Amino acid sequence: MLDIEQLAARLNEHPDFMSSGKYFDGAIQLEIGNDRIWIKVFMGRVILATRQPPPFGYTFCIKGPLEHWRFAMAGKKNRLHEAVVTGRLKVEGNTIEYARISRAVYGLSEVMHAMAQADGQALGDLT
Amino acid sequence: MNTEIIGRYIDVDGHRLFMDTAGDPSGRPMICLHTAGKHALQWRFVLPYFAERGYFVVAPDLPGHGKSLLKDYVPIDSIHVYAELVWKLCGQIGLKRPVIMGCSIGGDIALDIAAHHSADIHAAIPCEAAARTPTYPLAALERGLEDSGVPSFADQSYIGGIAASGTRALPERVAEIAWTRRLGDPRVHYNDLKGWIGHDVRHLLAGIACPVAVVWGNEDYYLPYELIKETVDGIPNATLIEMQGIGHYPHIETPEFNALVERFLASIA
Repeated sequence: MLDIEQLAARLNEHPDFMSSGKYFDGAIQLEIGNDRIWIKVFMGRVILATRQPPPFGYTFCIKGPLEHWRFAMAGKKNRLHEAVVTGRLKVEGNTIEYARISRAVYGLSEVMHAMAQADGQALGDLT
Repeated sequence: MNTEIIGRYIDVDGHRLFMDTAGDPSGRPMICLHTAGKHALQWRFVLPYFAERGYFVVAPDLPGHGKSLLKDYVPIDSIHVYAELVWKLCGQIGLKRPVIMGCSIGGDIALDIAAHHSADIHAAIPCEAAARTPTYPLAALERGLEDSGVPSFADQSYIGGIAASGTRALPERVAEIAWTRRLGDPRVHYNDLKGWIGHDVRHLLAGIACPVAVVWGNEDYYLPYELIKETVDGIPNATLIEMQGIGHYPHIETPEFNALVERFLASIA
């Protein structure tokens, strides 16, 4: 399972995430197979990361089956953007906001990719 | 041999076009056509190389791109319209039997010119392009035609540049691809992509009389191999130059590109 405390801590130090997310007040949900992670972001900082998404939902969600997350994260290259462009992973919700904080999402993917590379089990079933 | 890149302007069909040139104007002409929404700067590693080898290389900014003005400020959304404009440019500056090379939409334009004027060109080198390229999601395209639909366009383009480069691309070249992708008007970019998805010259492939080399990076996720194969198989005298570990920008990603193109041109001399 992805260590969400470590994820939040690393995002709060990632320059792209902090900078691009500076003008954002919302929540990003990740659906990695059956695993759901809800990340509340306010002005470039993660203020809560939980596996119990609140009933009021998210701003946008990046979701897909495990095999496609594996394609995006388990290889040497971070392929999240490619996975979304080619339809392996889906973005749902407010896709205008997803586009607007593109660099924050890129920062998120960089952190997840680095965690997957450093620890083969970091993304659970992904490896 | 002077390999300096020199810019100049010319009016073609009411568009005021900028172009980079390099080499002796009496050399064998070569035209280089850039990718969607971008500009001639993409060919800065290619122009001096071929100028040094006796070519006169011309890389225009298509209308509305880089330093080229657009007639009536209405973006062009047709590969064929671009192709005929480039062909007219070749005529106006006196390029006889040019090599036509391009990447992405520039590659589609090169193929379109080959499909309509192959008797009058030396060779065509479409890179990351095919006879048809219906590979961009329509919903994303429609959003892109409105500025309000593509917030943070520069950031999106920057990240797209990193993602679309291959794993064997030189890191400093990837940084340049990503940076230069930040520039330009999204409306022009997405109209180019409208041309990209509408392009289809399959019915003309069998009539292409000149040699064609299709350059394809096997990590280009915008172009599946099936579309490349269909193109190469359909042209009587076509060669596939496959580049392992290279993505959507072979002419920038690696200096190996120049030598591969040179080898092809030597083989048809």
